Amino acid sequence: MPGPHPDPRPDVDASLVLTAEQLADFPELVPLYDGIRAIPHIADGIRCQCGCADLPGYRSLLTCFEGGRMATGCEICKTEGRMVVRLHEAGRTLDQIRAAVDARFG
Amino acid sequence: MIMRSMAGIAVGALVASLAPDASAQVRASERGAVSQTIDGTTITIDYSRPQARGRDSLFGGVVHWGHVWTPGANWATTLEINRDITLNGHALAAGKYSVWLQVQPEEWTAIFDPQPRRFHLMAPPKSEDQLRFAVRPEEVSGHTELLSWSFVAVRPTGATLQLDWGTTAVAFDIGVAPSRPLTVAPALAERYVGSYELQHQGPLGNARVQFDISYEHDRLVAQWENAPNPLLEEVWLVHLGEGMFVPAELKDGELFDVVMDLVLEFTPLEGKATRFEMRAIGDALWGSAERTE
Repeated sequence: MPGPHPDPRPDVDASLVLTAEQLADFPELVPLYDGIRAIPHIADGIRCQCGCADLPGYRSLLTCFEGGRMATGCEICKTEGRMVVRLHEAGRTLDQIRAAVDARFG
Repeated sequence: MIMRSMAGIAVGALVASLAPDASAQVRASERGAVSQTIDGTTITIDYSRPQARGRDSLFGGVVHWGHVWTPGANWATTLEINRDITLNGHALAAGKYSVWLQVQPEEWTAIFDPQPRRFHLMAPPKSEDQLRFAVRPEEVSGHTELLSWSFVAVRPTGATLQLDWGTTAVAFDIGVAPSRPLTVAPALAERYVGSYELQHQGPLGNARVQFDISYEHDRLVAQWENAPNPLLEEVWLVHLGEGMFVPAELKDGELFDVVMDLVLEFTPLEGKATRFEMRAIGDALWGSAERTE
């Protein structure tokens, strides 16, 4: 079983999430990044299940969408990110989203 | 003084680098290992590999009938497993074992001893904590010069581990416990059983097809009309939790593969499910279904 989900930082923001300009080579990913940009307080409370959570500096799913560009090349990051955005839009709480992530990727 | 000390260190280092390393030498039976992971269970065989070297009658000759022999050389061959398994249907707990075979003209006895570190000449005495069972060697057409352990077949629920030396082969059927249960409790199954109308989307096209879920022998069985491949036409649904299932493909009624990249998400999460979405890699929507009965 993967490790626990991180606690979202109270002051977290989406200022490091890559912008459309920074994603010029990946235009198809702009809607996903915009979705993550809208919910940093949720994405920062989710553990990425691709294995990157064990890398130094990778604290949450939010990190995957920041400068390291992990989510531009990792299908798990992208799949998990889209699912998190979708479930949040459907009204699920952070704990419910974590449970769904664990069920699908854990 | 300092220069002399430095020179002394340099000469010492050179001598050390030229000294023979006891672990680095040519051996008649070099050490080897083979490992296989199946659904989270890792099985490793570590062994020294004798060569036939033109010797006839390896079994009944080089290895005498009745002899308890480690299928390797030097230090005993070991089998290490991180989870419980079955070997030819016999339970074996997670751990590391030395492996022995008592060879006979017809039927051999396989012995898995809980003390892994044993020299090949020191076969373990019979004891209660060993796993012992009969195996039948087979004569094969090809000649294997170097004693070999290999995983000749891997399935979602197990593997075939095979010993080959000369023209003799011994196969072991390994069973592993599935990481996710294939059965579903009746109370849970009741929420999903029924008929659904599935609207294909994305790469599946846009057909509206029938998707029926029944409960048979403690398993949820789905019949998918116009499934994208024949193995998905009838599948078991494996419960992930939170209303999610993945299809398990079958071959000859046995589990063939669990398709983790195709998730069925049922809603609502409580009570009888009324609809589901089919989500693929990238969370792509491949279908939406509504319960019809």
